[in-house]
Amino acid sequence: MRAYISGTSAISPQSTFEQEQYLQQLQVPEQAYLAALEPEYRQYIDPKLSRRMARIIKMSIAAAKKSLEQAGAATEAGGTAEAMPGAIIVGTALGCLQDTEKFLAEIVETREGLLSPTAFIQSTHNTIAGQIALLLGCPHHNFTFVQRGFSFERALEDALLQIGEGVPQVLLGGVDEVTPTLFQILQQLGCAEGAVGRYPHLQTSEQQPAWGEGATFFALTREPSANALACIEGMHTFYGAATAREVQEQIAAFLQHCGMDTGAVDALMMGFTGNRQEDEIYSQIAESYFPDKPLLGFKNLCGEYFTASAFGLHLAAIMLQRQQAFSGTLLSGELKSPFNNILLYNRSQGKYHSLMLLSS
Amino acid sequence: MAARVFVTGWGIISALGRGVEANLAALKGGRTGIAHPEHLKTLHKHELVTGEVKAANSQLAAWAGVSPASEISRTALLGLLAAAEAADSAGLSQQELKTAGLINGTSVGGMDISEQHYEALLKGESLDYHRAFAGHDCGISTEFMAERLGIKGHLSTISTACSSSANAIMQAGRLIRAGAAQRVLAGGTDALAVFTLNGFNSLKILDPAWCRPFDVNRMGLNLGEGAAYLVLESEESAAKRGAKVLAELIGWGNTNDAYHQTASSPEGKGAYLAMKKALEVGGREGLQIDYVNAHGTGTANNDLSESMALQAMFGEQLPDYSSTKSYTGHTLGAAGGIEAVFSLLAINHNLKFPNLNLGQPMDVLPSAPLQKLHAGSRVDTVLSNSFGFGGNCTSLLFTR
Repeated sequence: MRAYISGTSAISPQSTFEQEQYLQQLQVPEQAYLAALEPEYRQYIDPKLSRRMARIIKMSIAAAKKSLEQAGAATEAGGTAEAMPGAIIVGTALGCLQDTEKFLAEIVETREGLLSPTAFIQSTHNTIAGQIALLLGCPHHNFTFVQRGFSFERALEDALLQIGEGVPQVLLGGVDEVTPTLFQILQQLGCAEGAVGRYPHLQTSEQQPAWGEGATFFALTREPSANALACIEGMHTFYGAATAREVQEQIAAFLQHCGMDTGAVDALMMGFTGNRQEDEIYSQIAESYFPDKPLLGFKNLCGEYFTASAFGLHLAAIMLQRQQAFSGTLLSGELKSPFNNILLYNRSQGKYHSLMLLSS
Repeated sequence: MAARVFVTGWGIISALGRGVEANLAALKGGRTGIAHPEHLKTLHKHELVTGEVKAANSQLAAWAGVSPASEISRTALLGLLAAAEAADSAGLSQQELKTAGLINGTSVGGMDISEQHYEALLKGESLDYHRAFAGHDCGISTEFMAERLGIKGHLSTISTACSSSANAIMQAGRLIRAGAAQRVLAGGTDALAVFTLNGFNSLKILDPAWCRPFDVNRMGLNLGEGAAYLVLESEESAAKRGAKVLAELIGWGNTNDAYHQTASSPEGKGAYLAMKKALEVGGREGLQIDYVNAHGTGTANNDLSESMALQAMFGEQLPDYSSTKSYTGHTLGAAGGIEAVFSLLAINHNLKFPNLNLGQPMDVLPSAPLQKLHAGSRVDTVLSNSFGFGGNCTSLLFTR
C-alpha cells in the first residue's frame, strides 16, 4: 500500500517548524542533549488549555495542526479548513515523561497522600493522540504504538492499513521528549553522551550518540493531491542483529516488492549518529551496495531517539518537494536535481531496522 | 478475498488464578478474586481492595522459569506466563512460534520496578540504574516475552490505556485479514503499581469496597492486574496445521469519544460508535448478539455512559450483558485480553457470567445485567467492550 504525504510538520532541535526558515541556520547544541525549538503556541492552542499541557503535548498538537492545514490547503484550493482525518495514529516509545515524573515525585513527596490527578491523567502514552482527537473533535480510529525503535514504524504501518481499508486521510505522528532525568538515566545506562561540540556536523568518535527529541507529523492521503510533497512507496521492518550483507538482502527484497531496482534509488538516507561502531554498518552498505549514490543523514540534526525515523521521513519528503539538500544533511556525494527516489534505512539499538521508500 | 481470523489458542493469569481452567472454575463458582493486596507495596493496602494475582514476583518467576535474581517487571512476568499458555494451548511448535508475531498491550510497562527506585533517584542516592530503569518502558516487556518464547516475527506494543489489549487483538485481526500476517499472539498485560493505584485514587474513582458495576449505588472501580493472550491465525494457517478453532474474530471497531481526557461522554458516543463499527466490520446482516461482556468498571461515569451506548445500539433488543470486573477488578491494559478469554469461554461452554455484588440495578436499560450464571442456552456471538482514557473505545466481536 502506498500513501501520499499531503502535509508534514516537525518541531525538532532545528528550525524546521517555520517554512520560511526551514533549516536555514543550523543550531549548535548548548546543553547535554538536543532540545526541540518550541514555537509560539498561541496560534495553535488556546492559552487556557496549553497552560496545563506538557511540552510533548503542545509540540504534538502544533505539528499535527500544521500538517493538517497544509493538507487542507492542498485539497481545497485557497482553503485553510483543517480536513478531519479518518484516523489519528501516534508512535511514541517513552510517551509523556514529564507528567509521569511529576506524578512519581508527588507520590514520593506526599507519601501516597492527597494528590492532584492532573499529572496522572496526562501521563498515559495515548494522551497525545487523545488530546489531538479532543481538539479536532475527531471520533475515528485512535491508536498509539510504543515499541521502542519500531514505535513510529508500527504507526506508519497502521496508517497504511487504514488507507488500504479505504480511509481517505490519516494523521500520523512520531513523538518523543527528553527530560533531564531521562538523559541522566540514558547516560548511566551507556546509551547516550553529551551533545556539545559534536553536532550538527557529524564527527565520528567512540562516544555514544547525543540524544534528541521532537514531534513530527504527517497528513497522509490515499489519493495524490495537487501539492503532495512525496509518496511513501512502502515500509519494511525487521528485528534482530544483522550484518551489512543481511541488511542488503532485506533492502533488495524490499525494493523489489516496491517494484524498483537499486539503480533507481537517487539517494540513501541513513541514521548516522557519529558513534563509530553504530555507523559502521551504514558505511558498509553505502560503500558496498550504493557506491555512487549521495548519502544523507538526519540524526546529526535531530539527535538519536526512538522515533527519530519520523524526522528522517519528514526531511526526505521536504527534500523531494524542494529538490534540494540542506546544510548538514549531505554526508557524501552530490545530490543532483531532478532526484525522485530516496531510500531511508534506520537502525535503533542495533536490532530495530526499518526501510522506507519515498518518491516524488 | 479477505482472510478469516480464527482464534486457536488462549492463555490467562488473573486474580482468579493461573490458567484458563482456573479462571473458568472461578467464573462458574461466582468467586471473586478481589481482596486486600498482599504483594503490592502500597500504604493503602488496608484501605483498598484489588484484583491482585495471588503470587509474589519470585513465584511468578519460578513458574516462568526466569531467574528470580533478575529484576524483571511483574508486567513482563505475567505477560510471559499467559502468552506461553496461549502458545502451548494452540499447539505451536518452536518453528511455528519463530515466524509468529507478538502484539502486546500494556499501560504501565515496567513501572512497578522503576517506581520503587524513584525516591533514590530524586535524592541522588547511588543506584543500580540498569536494575532500576532499563525495564521501564512498555516495549521492553514485549521484547522480553518474544525472546523467551522464541518469537521472531512482527513485534509491536500498543498503549491506549484501558483498551490497550483489545486494540492489540484488533490489530492482529486487521493484519491477518489484510494478508500481512498469518499467525499472531495478541493480548496484553499490566501489573498493579503504586503509580496507577494512587492515580485512580487521586481521581476519586476507587471504591474502597468490592465494586458494583451497573448498580445504582456504585462507588467506583477496584484495580486489578493480570495478562491474557489469544493466538490468532488466518483460516489458511489454522487449516494447514489442523489447529483446533476456539472461535472466529469477525469484527472490531476503535473510535474516540472526543469528549474529555478521562471522562466518558454522558451519551456514550464513542462506545456506541465502537460497537456499531465492530458490527459493521463483522458484516453479517441480522446477526444476533448472545452476550455482551461490558466494560462496566463500576464508576458512576462509565456505567451510565456505557448503558446509554447499549441503549442506543440495541434499544429493546438488548442482549444479556454483564461486567466481569467484579471478579477481576479493572486490569487496565490487560482488560481487553482477559475479557476476550472470558468471551471465548462463554462461546465454548455456552455460559454467560454474572455481574457480582449487584444490589439495585441501574434503570437506564430495559433489563438488568445478569446476576446468576446462565448455562445451557447457546452462546454463538459475544461482543466485548473495552474503553480507556483519552476517549479510546474498542469493541471486539467473536463468533463460534
